[in-house]
This record gives sequence, structure tokens and C-alpha cells, in this order.
Amino acid sequence: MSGSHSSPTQSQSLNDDINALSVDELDRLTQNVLDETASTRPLLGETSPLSVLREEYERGSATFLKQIDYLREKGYTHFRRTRGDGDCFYRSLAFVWVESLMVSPDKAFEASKALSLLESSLDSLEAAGFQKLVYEDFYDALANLVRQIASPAADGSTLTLSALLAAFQDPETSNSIVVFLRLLTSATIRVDEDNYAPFLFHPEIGEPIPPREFCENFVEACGKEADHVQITALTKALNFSIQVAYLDGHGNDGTVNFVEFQIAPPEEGSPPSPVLLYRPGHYDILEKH
Amino acid sequence: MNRAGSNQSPALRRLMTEYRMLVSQGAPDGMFTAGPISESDFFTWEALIMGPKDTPFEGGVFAAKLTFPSDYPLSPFKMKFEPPLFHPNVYADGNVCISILHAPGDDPTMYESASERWSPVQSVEKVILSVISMLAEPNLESGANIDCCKLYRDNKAEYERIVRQSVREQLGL
Repeated sequence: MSGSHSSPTQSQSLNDDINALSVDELDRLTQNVLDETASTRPLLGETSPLSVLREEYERGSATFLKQIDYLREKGYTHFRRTRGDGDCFYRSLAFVWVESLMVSPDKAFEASKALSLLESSLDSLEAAGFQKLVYEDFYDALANLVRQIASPAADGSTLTLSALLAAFQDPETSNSIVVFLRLLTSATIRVDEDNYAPFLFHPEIGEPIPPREFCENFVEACGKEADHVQITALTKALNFSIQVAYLDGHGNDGTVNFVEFQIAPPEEGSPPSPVLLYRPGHYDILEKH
Repeated sequence: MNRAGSNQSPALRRLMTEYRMLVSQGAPDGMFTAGPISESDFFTWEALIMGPKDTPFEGGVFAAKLTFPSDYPLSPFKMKFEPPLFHPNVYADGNVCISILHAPGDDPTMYESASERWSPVQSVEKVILSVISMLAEPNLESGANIDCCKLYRDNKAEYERIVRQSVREQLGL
């Protein structure tokens, strides 16, 4: 990628320059590059064919290519990108959750069930010690969207897929929903901390970390990525099963590991759980069309 | 939309709620007051902080300007003592350096990982209460005013004398 056209001396001096940077400076440089790519991308994009993703890896890792082909063999045809801002898991999950309510056969029933679940989740938020002023606006952002699934807005329209996408691309709405899901995840861990504590580790150091500290630093804070514990807590809080497909370049057989975050055994004839596509450090949405 | 004023930005809505609660309930023990400087700009507040008892700051009232970003409370606000305050965790220009005003990972002075951080669950009240305990107990691990840190460590009596002196001057004594 870098320096393919520069002479050896030039790239040597570039290397020297980079070596001269302190760890901090290097981190900042990397972060700047990440921020730039991250901030030009929509928070959540249109659906694109998997061939687009495949093209990105054509000059790179053969394992990734095999794994993408494996996904296509399994019938997955499209994916939907989220911005790589550390909030991608929560944003993807929120989107597939509302989308799954919208496309369900009895959407009015599913939406009202979801609304009462959201309402009762406020009890956990209170129990976890969050003040109402901290969560009410964020709660409204998500609840209003779910409400629109079945109740017509002032102009008589109900939520469409394109309005849903627009809501998730609007920073105010989209980020408010992300924050609400972060608070809900945190509350779920905090009120059930005995069960979660054995699984809480500092993501960088790997040492055990107390639940309060884990939640403050790695759940409630914006931009902090989610891992298994957060996924488990949030899918449980929303009573919503998902799968995560790990496109991580691991394994030589080119298969992709699907991990189920299952709340209850699926009912007969129910559609398969939505799939998030994981690549190291990032979640997108995987789709079959 | 089910609440009044929901056409306003989330930041403005949140700031109005926080202000309303501070006005109606007051700060614990009347330790501080805070609110917008003018009705026309809810994103710039002034806080008046009473010097905590049994510290050299006792008896003083310290003014600080709070500046809120448009994406508050996703991002933290900034807090600046005007005039600047002589304290290990306050920069010479008056800006406050405290972990609760920084998101995790955003580490100007390498706070300990266990220290309290900014996230949308914090509020003006929580931050100012943290600043008040910081006045009583400076954190030398993450100093902002290095000279003041040194003085505090090497000659605490002199540090306290300077602070008391400035409180008296402020009161016109």
C-alpha cells in the first residue's frame, strides 16, 4: 500500500521518520488516519453486494477471500457497512433489531411488545443507579422509532426501511440510540454483576476488572468496542437473538465461525437470527437477499 | 415525539434539564451554583464554587466557566477557573485537568485506569462535586501545574499559605 512508487532511499527516510516518532505520536497518527476514514463514511450505509467486500481483499489475504466465498456459498449476498467509530456493534444491533420488528408478520404486535420491553428496561437502569436525566432523551430516540413502526406519524405514515436508514444516518438519532443501548448493556451487567464478574477482563491488559469499572470504562463510554460480554448482556436485555460471523482470517479451511447469541431456542418456522459480520475490531451487518 | 421541546437538539434539551434540576434542588450543602451566563446561550455556563471547609480554599468563592460542545453529553464540557486558581490540577491558564472530564483512553496526563471518566452518565453536578474533592485532595499523579505540584509535595505549608493569601486577596482583605 505505502511507498510502492518511492525509491528505496525515500522509503528508508520515511521509515526513519516513523521510527523517530514516540509511541504516543504514532498512536495519534494512526488515530488520525482512522478518524479520517471513519468520519467520511455514513454512520450506517446502504446495503452492498458481498462482491464489493471481496474486491477489497483481492490483493490481500487469501484466507479472507476464501472466507468471503464461504459466506456466499452459505447464501449470504449482501452486507451493510457501519462507520468504524467503536460504536459499530451497538449501531448494527439497533438497526437489525428495529428492522426485524418491522419485517415481522405481525409488526404491530411485535412493536408493542418491544415497547413494553423497553419501558420495563428503565427499571434496570434505575436499579443500576442511572439518573432519569441521564437516559430519558436517549430512551426517547429509540422508543420513538419503535413506536413509528405501528403508529402513524402526524402525516399518517409509518416507518419505512428508508426512513429507518435515514434515522440511523442522522447523527443525533443514531448516536442517541447507541448511548441508550450502552446504558442498557451496562445496567444489565451492573444489576446482575455476580453472574458477569467472572467474565470481565480489561480488554488491553487481560486482568480481571470489577464490574463498575468495566462498565464505566468499556461500556458506557462512547467509542468503546463491544466484545462477547457486552453482546451477551445486550441481546439478553432486548430478548433478541443474533449470530456473529467471524471473518477474521483464522483457520486454513476458509470457513467462517458463526457464534450464536441465543436467548431462547428458535420457534419452529421462525426466520433465522440476524447476522452481524465481524472483522477484527469492527462489526457490519450481513444479509441474504 | 412525546415530550415538550423535543424539536431542540439533544444537547440543549439535556442542558435545560440539568439546569432545571440544579435550580429546583440546589447543590448538596449549597457547595456550588451553576447556570448559563445568558439566556441566549445555554452552551456557556458559569459555576461559583465555595472553597471546601478545612482546606486552605475555605472562605473563598471561585468562578469557573463551563463550555459545552454541541454533542454534549456524548463529549464532555470544558471547565476553566476565571481567574486561574493555584492548584496542582489546574493549568496556569485556569483550565481544569481532571479525569472525569476526559473519556477513557483520552489521557492528557495518563490518569490511573480506575479513575472516574467522562461518559454520558456524568453531569455538571457530578463533575463539579469531583472538582470540589479535587480542591481538597489534589492528585499529584496527573499534575497540570508542575510548579504547584512540586511546592505541594516539598513544602505543603507554603502551598497552603499561598492559597490562603489568594483567598484573602480575593475577598479584599
